[in-house]
Amino acid sequence: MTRWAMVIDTGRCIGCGACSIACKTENATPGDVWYAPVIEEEVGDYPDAHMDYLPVLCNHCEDAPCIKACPTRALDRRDDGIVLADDDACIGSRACMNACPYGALHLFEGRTGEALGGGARTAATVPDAGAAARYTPGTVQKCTFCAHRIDHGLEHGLVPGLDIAATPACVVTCPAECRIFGDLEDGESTVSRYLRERGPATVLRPDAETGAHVFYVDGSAR
Amino acid sequence: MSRHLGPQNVFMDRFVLEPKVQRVWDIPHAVWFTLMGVGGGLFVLARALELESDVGTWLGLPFVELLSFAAIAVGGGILIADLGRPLRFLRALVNPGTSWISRGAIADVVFVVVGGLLVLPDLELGGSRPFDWLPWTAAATNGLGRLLELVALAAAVVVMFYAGQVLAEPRAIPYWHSPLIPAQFLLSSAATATALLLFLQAVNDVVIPAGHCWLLAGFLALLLVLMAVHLRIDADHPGKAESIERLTSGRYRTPFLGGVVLVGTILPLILALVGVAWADARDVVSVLAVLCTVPAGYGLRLLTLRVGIFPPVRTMVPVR
Amino acid sequence: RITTPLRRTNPDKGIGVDPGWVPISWEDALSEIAGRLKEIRDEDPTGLLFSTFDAYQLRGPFIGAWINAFGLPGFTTWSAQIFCGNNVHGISYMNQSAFEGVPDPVHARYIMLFGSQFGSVVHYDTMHAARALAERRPGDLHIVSIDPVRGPAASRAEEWVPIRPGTDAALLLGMVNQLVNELHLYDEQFVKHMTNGPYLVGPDGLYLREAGTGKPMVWDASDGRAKPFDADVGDFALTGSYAVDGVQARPGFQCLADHVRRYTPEMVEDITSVPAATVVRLAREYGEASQIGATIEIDGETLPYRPASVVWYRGLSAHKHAMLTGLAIALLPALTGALDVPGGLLADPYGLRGKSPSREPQFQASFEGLIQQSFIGGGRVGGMYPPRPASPPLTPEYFELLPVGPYGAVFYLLASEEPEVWKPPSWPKMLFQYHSNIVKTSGPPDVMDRFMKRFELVVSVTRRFEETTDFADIVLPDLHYLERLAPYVFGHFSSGEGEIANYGSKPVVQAPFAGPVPDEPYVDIMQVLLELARRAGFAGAVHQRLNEISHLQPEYALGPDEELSYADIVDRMLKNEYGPDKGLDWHLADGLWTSPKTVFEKYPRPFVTPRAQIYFEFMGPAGDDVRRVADGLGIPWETDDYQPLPDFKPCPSFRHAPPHDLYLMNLKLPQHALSHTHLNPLLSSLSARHRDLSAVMIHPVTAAERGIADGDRVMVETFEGRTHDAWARVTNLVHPEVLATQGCGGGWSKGPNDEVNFNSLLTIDKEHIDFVSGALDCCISARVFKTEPP
Ligand SMILES: Nc1nc2c(c(=O)[nH]1)N[C@H]1C(S)=C(S)[C@@H](COP(=O)(O)OP(=O)(O)OC[C@H]3O[C@@H](n4cnc5c(=O)[nH]c(N)nc54)[C@H](O)[C@@H]3O)O[C@H]1N2
Ligand SMILES: Nc1nc2c(c(=O)[nH]1)N[C@H]1C(S)=C(S)[C@@H](COP(=O)(O)OP(=O)(O)OC[C@H]3O[C@@H](n4cnc5c(=O)[nH]c(N)nc54)[C@H](O)[C@@H]3O)O[C@H]1N2
Ligand code: SF4
Ligand code: SF4
Ligand code: SF4
Ligand code: SF4
Ligand code: SF4
Ligand SMILES: [Mo]
Repeated sequence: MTRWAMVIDTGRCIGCGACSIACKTENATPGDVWYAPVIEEEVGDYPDAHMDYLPVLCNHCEDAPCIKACPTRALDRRDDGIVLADDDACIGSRACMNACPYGALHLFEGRTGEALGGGARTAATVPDAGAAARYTPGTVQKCTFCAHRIDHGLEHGLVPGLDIAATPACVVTCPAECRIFGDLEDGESTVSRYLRERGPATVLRPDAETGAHVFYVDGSAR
Repeated sequence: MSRHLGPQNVFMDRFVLEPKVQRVWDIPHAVWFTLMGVGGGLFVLARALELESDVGTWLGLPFVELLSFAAIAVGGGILIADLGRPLRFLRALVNPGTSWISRGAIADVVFVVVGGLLVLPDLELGGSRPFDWLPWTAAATNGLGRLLELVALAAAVVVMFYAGQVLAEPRAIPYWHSPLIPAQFLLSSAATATALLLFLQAVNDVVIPAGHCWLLAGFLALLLVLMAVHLRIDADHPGKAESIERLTSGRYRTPFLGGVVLVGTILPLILALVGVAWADARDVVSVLAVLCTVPAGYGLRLLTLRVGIFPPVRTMVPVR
Repeated sequence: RITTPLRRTNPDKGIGVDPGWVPISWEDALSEIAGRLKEIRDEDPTGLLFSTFDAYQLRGPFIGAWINAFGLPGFTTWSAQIFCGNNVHGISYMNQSAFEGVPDPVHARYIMLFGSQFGSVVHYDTMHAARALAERRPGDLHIVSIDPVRGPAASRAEEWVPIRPGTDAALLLGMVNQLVNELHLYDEQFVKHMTNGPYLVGPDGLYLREAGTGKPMVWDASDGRAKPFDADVGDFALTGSYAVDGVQARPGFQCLADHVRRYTPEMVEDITSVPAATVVRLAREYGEASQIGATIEIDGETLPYRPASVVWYRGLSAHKHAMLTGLAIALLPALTGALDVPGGLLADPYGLRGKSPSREPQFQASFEGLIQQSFIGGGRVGGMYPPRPASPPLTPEYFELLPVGPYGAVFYLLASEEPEVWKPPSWPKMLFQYHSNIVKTSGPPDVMDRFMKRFELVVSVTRRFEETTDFADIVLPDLHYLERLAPYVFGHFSSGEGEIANYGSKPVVQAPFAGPVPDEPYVDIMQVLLELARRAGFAGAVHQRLNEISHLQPEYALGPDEELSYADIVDRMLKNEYGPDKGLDWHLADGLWTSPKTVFEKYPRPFVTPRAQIYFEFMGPAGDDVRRVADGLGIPWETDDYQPLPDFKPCPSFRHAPPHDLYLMNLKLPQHALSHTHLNPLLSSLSARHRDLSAVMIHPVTAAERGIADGDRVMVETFEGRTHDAWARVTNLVHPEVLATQGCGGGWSKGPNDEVNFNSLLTIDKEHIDFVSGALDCCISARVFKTEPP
């Protein structure tokens, strides 16, 4: 069996946002939708204050509350752990959006461009145009763990997590290599080794008992 | 509508670690939550108090139950209209295994269908009752009728609280993740329905028994207790603390404490007790109780939605 | 996207004025421009101002050759020249024979960021640095950021030392004082043998020179007498005072030690707001982390190991007295011997010019035994040593009055604002501008408006309408980088670990419109320039100059009368560089050239003899020279900063009188590159979500004093009365006396927006310009107050 998972080493992250952009262009998400935000947190008091960066994405939860909440089974987890939204089945109830503790679900409202905000940020972008073609207005969309890259890679004998073409876009783009992707079931995979060597790992919102499969390691000794 | 000011996913506003106030559900939801609650409540209470035929009929059918069906139907309509893909609404029925929306939708359908069937024999059209051949009566006087009534009652109870259960099931929003939310919705529905029943009796010149006032007072008192308890339990937990703060000292202080709690709950509670003590006042009390509890039921639901706050994703909430 | 040449029909120019573009043919456009070029070239080539910040071609020889062939000594990269590297390049040329220095990401253990975001995705070689530094986390590396703002890079630093803007020189000199006078933490051997520390300096501040040869003298402590620096010296004296032929002289090092003594920790605290104890601690940490005396084995060679260094950039450059600050920071790595050794500050590109097969790195020695700047392409980034002789300026850049400065674009603006005072030489008739958005990235809009209107003809080559193209008379369409053929662009040329690599750009997408030469696909702006040269009659001169700059061997040399396409020339140059089988076809098919580095290429310093400098003797005479010329011209040119040892001098914002007693400054965003990317809606909406575009950062105490809360609408007002509104971002990440915004957002060509346009708040006057380095002070006295919600 395979269980895809990601490890994010926040100790390495420099908050550049390359992952956010990479995901956006890879998945042609519309203006308002970012699957891979990098969340900032200002911690400490002057002069010991600093900014911490927390890259997030869908946690591809084992006990995904979004799946439970969905009345239509539009959300489902594949055998390899990837949670996908099926926009043919989704009715846009948004129950999933309020069930996911991480804000990882997005209603595609069908707006492309004008939703980007005031003034200059109104131009339609290439991803916007792509989004209009790709997503169904009124349904929910979400991070796919770049399943298309994984599946395509596997078909071509590549190893997700090692081979660029088989690995999620946000992972391969990160200049600081803080994102590690791989098969958690395989003890020698990139993720398993990283967790072993650089652990302990935490997940976000453990209280929500989601069985999150994006693990956080803080490699920095601050 | 306000939700169109930005994307519904509030996490997209700015990438800052902070509590996020949900923006997915708002007025339409509060409206259908309320309608479902009241609709279910009317049916359940009318049957429980055996009042359904005393407070008026229309086309031979109990007016109160028609009101109940109408509330559910309108609520359902709003629900459907608010869907991203309204035409696909039937798909909502496929996942009762885990989804409370699905369970609720099924309950809605069952209630309207079974309840409708139950009263069908009494339907009068142009002086005749085309369905009186059906082997039961609206008053559920035989076994089959009792069965239908039981199913309809069960469905109606679910309809009364499932909206609360939709909120309470996931752990994402701590203020919502509590059985006290559906319990509040249930009690609020019951109280509102009771007030409406009092009012319908008054309109139909039925003498309101003191017991009904007791009932109203009881529902409201319990609701008050539940609200108080809910505001105290885990009040310092991330997410929930911010919700409570918004309700009790933030922007919703006046609508919540002044509106929902004082005018919407405590005042009708006092009025109900007045009604208990003073039979002559009951007609007036019933009018005032409706005026207080119906907006309060809506307000309770809207404010519950509006203080739905996701704690910062990094927060380590103590695991219960 | 602009796909055809355009001509302006509205003679009125200005911001917001519709130029009334009409399409014209390439033929018409080129012949008109070529005609003007020919006139100007025949009359006086300085009638052309050529400006670009084209990273694709800047490393290559083409633009320089074209410019030189036209008759100009070099081109102007414009806005870059106002703000960046003013106190970086000259100093790096002087002490490392390099364009700039970067910390060794592999072997460093202690890095001080002085006004630089190295390690974040700002600064240069970003991807490489980000990865290399991440690799060293945790624990292996200690980064200290000295910065008024804790931006992304500083947030990742282990320590942040907030500093009052423009005061770094005091901190640096205070650290030097600690290192040499208190802690005795400096690399004595390095200073003796690899710097001019032992050179004897007389009471006049000048070297004691050997009669006849003019060679600087040193004191040989082992036999107690003065000798020329290159004689057989037993022991170079660094300290003491010696009578030589009746003149009392001290080694340069002793002069420095005496000079910095007044920079006590207490004085430094008073100036910089950095606590005295921190000053001492930083000096000790830096000195100890330098591991003086330690060695490391690299590829079988034992080399000095100095794993502590400093890096500086715009934060120290964009200020009044920038050159003095630059000289102050140059002292640290020189004193600890951290130049071009493992762990230290590495030359980028090393040995002045990146290695390619035909060129070896070079460290040339001056007759004084010091590293001197050797020839640099056709661009004109001036080094500082040896200083160039001053002479009356040929252009309003006043480059001839900047004998040690790298460039002087800012003087165009000063002269444009105050021509009576600065008496500029004749104004260029034509501006040829591409790949820089000078109206946005230089001075305030009104200043730039006046400046742009001074040209009779403005030609812009551009892909899209931007702030600058609005002033053009003729616009030519340019290419996207994916459409470009520019083989000399990218590469990794710094010293340090890793390979040398070159991987120029190649067209992977075909431009969707025709270019200047009918039967050639349009692949680079050089086709436009070559065609113009052909039409204006100086194509042969371009060929000639390319032969020289690129060292083309005879079989590849370009004949003056040969009819060559751009592709032909590229082909020859590539073959000349990489071998007969590595011409254009190879470049298009592969084009990645790598070469392992020898130890010498990784860490050249231990293998070369020219010395670095810690006493800047040349400054005094250079200043005298400038003063002489400036006095002759009757202009109030400032020459006070030409001194052999640096000092802290207050900038105009220093302790400005209330109410404008805050320092308004800006920094770059990781998500944006200059003004260029601000037209990209994805990047802009991302930065907006990080609250970076329209906010001004204010310290909580400062905000509270002014009744400002986070998220309030505020007005920033400079002492000069320029104003800008913004959202208050109340944050602990900023010094209490500072207001900080992002740098290059807020352009108007993308339509109305609420972003901060920092440059609209700049002051262009004598007080805000460093007359040695040509830097413009990017830190303005200002106040902030709450405004009513709009
Ligand atoms: N993402 C990104 N990367 C870039 C660029 C870009 O636009 N975007 N531009 C490239 C270019 S052209 C350049 S020149 C480099 C510039 O690279 P850097 O110079 O590293 O970048 P800046 O953000 O301009 O850095 C200035 C830093 O100095 C601080 N500072 C300002 N004043 C002072 C002061 O008085 N004292 C001290 N100690 N610090 C001060 C600022 O707060 C800021 O942190 O970056 C290059 N890389
Ligand atoms: N306030 C503030 N001002 C600053 C700075 C700052 O940090 N803060 N930084 C300063 C620094 S360090 C620098 S280096 C300067 C840089 O200032 P500029 O040299 O003006 O750099 P950009 O703003 O990036 O302008 C480059 C222009 O080239 C265009 N372009 C991109 N690719 C191509 C191409 O292939 N062909 C053509 N023809 N055009 C192309 C882009 O659209 C853009 O308009 O800005 C300086 N100004
Ligand atoms: S992170 Fe959210 S969207 Fe993703 S699987 Fe978990 S609950 Fe579902
Ligand atoms: S919005 Fe779509 S995916 Fe989400 S719960 Fe509703 S039907 Fe399921
Ligand atoms: S895994 Fe793919 S879809 Fe998910 S955040 Fe990363 S790039 Fe986006
Ligand atoms: S790309 Fe990597 S370093 Fe940059 S923000 Fe994303 S996770 Fe952090
Ligand atoms: S803009 Fe280009 S050179 Fe700069 S960091 Fe990004 S990829 Fe590297
Ligand atoms: Mo720059």
